[in-house]
Amino acid sequence: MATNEHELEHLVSRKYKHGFFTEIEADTVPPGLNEDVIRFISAKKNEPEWMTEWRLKAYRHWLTMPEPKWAHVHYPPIDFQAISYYSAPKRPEDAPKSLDEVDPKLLETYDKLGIPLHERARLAGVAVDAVFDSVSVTTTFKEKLAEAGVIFCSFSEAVQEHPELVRRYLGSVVPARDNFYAALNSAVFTDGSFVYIPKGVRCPMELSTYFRINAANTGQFERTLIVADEGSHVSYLEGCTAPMRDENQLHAAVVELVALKDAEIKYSTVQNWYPGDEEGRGGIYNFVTKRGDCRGANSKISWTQVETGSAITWKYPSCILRGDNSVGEFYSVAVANNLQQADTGTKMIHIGRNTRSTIISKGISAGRAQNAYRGLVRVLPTAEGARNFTQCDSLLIGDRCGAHTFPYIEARNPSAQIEHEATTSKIGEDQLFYCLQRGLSEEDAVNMIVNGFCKEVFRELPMEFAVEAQALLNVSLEGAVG
Amino acid sequence: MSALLESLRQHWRDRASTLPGNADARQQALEAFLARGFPTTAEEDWKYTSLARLEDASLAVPGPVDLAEAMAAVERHAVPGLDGPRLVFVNGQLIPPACRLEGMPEGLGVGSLGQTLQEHGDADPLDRVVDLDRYRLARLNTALFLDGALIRATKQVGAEKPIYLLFLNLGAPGAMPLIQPRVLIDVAQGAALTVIEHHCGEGEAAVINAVTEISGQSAARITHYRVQEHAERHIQIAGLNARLDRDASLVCHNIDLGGALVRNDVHARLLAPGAEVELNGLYFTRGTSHVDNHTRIDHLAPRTTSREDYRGVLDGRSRAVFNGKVLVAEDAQKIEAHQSNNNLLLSRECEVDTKPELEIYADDVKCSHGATVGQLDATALFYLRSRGLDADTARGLLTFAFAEEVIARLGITPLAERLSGTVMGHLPDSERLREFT
Repeated sequence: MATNEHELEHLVSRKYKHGFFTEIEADTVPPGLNEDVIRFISAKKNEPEWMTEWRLKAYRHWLTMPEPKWAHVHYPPIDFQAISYYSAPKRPEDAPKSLDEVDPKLLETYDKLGIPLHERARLAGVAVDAVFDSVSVTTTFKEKLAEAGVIFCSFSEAVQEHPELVRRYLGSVVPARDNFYAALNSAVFTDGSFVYIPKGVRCPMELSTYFRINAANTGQFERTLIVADEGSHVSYLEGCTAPMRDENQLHAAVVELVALKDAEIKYSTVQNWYPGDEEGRGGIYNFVTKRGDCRGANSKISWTQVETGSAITWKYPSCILRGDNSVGEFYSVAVANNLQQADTGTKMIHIGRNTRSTIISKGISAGRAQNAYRGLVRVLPTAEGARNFTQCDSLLIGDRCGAHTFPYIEARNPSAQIEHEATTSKIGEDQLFYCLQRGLSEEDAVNMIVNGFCKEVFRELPMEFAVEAQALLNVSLEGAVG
Repeated sequence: MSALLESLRQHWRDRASTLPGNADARQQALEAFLARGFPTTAEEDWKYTSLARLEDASLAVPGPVDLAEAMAAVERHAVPGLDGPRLVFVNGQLIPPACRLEGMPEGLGVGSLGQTLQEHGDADPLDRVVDLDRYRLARLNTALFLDGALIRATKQVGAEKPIYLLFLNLGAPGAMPLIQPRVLIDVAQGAALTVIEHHCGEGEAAVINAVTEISGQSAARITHYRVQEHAERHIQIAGLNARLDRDASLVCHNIDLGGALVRNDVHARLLAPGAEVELNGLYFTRGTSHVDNHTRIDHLAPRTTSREDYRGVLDGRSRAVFNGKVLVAEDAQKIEAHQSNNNLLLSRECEVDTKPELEIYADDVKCSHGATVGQLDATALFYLRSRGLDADTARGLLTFAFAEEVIARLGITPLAERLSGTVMGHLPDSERLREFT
């Protein structure tokens, strides 16, 4: 396998493709966090008093909380006072109504990322609510969505336009006190997306947000809230890349999903933030709380994620299966290369009768990366007939990486059926040999095998996303074989 | 410091001069233990198992044993049909008249640990295997144990008959006795032996904190049985620690059929290529009992193998915990490690918490684990019903069959028969079930 070492060397040393930095004047508060900063953020966003109070309450509670240390990741302590908690593009007042009004520099950035906004929107029929730093700058296809009664807007807009909905559902899935980073987010979140699908509506298009972290030293604190009312259906896509910065950037987002009776939410993520360089310098800290609440009977929440980026990922998209017959799904591909660390998985809390959950997790470690699956399946005494199937497989590429599994299973109902399977192995030499003797290059062979390994997850992604995810996987593993 | 810890210190003051072995080492162990105290549920390893009920307990180092009473109890509990070497301890103290040590092959030593320490106190063989930082309860044992078994195969012997260690724990009204059995097994190159540790008890509550250390040199073959049939108020904590050298193999059977609160830690370290370990476990929990099995296998060298299969049957309001960790160290390539844990829930109020963990830092490995929680196979039940069995009998038979799969792996017929009988007795309507088996 040493024959193409030189080529591999070259591939390994290839720089992060999306690493560039757009200079835009940002309206940034000085680093540090105190109640004044929170009031400043709240005032900046022209928020009602209850919202400010909610933030402050979260902040006061956050102060009492210790930083969590249980994850299988290592990083230097974060100085929360060195982070600037607000940064917005210069002209928030005259937010553009169409693409023509968008700051050309922004559009240029998106172009470099390969997200031709207008084209994508036209060809794929996807409405893009692009978030640049912390303020949403453009929202397309709004009219079409409005026709169906769907509300899809930035979070700050939702606070202004639909305060009753926000107030009713905000923090109802992830309470402000939920955990350290959720509390921090609740205190300082700057923007995000809000989706409301009315009763019986099938959202006419897939909703999508592209996140982008810019400006140095600004942690990004997104907040997403998706409410699917009775009998509705929505598919939401989230994807992200970040420019190269030398300092670690903290990202502590919160995503809340609420599915009422007979509703279905499909949430797909492709995460490709800057993972740091070969020596592990820089890169994003991705400490995210994502949780869905199947509140009504027969509701369904499905999480699909492809995690290739970030220096550290700490993320457990979860489902609370409260409604009878509700369904939770989690499909994940997590790739860690070089010195990346990923601790990711899911929680399925079975409360209602005949609730079902499926967990398919594929972890790939390469280089010197550490990749951990951490999951919880909890069946409460009320969850008569609960059913869970979990499969979590790890693939190791290279002898300096690690793959770990920490599945917690707590069953308190005798009618529960829980199955958990996990395997860890490296790419089969026989598989590789077969591909090589058919004339494939080693790189292609590995890509093919890895893609096959992840197929179960990719087929859950919307088509265009799946293609992107596959390409992303290949890029992420470049130079990992040897 | 809690009253409990203070009482431990008091025991030390009272008994230090009478305890065998190196007094300084014992005192150090005690101080190190007291500095951190008993584990609490805030620690990840003890998340599901609380020792809080010990906090208010008043513990006593067990007093002298009435010989006649002890002999009668031994008669009631000893597994019949085991005619190899036998050591009997009642409340942690050796009962010589109940022991059988004749006809031992040359090179095999079986005897009282206390006596050996008394005679050669300086060469302290304790704590050589156990990882004290990870398992600090061993320190408590080291500090205050009264006696134990020392088994040494000094040359290439093949002990044909299993060595039977009976630990009988009798609780009495008043302060709970703190009984701390200690077993050291040291097996030389190429030697083979089988040890049965049988922990059982009767009467009022007692607290047992047992520590076993097994060291297998190259190509040693060791089979270890830990069978626990305590009375329903007994609390047992047991730590089994093993280190295996090149090509050494260890098979451990862990059977738990009694006890109020039971915690077992098995920690096996595979130190050189070719070492292998196999763990078989069965727990049958009833009433309000709580049984926690924590296993940890460290693959520290290439070409090491482990297999693990634990099964649980839960009834009543009981709770079972299983945590199986497999660690593969960096550069430990060509590893095979397989683990499974299956649980059968029989009642509405029981709870099982299982966590099979893999922590892998090498790439050329084949590791898998599986865990299931479920009920009896509906088609199998239907089959038996269609043959005219009533629902309860059908269920009982299938439950028995589920547990029997672990018992069938025990290589010692008298022991397997005894345990089958106990499992059967735990099932409802056992008389009827016996007709079928």
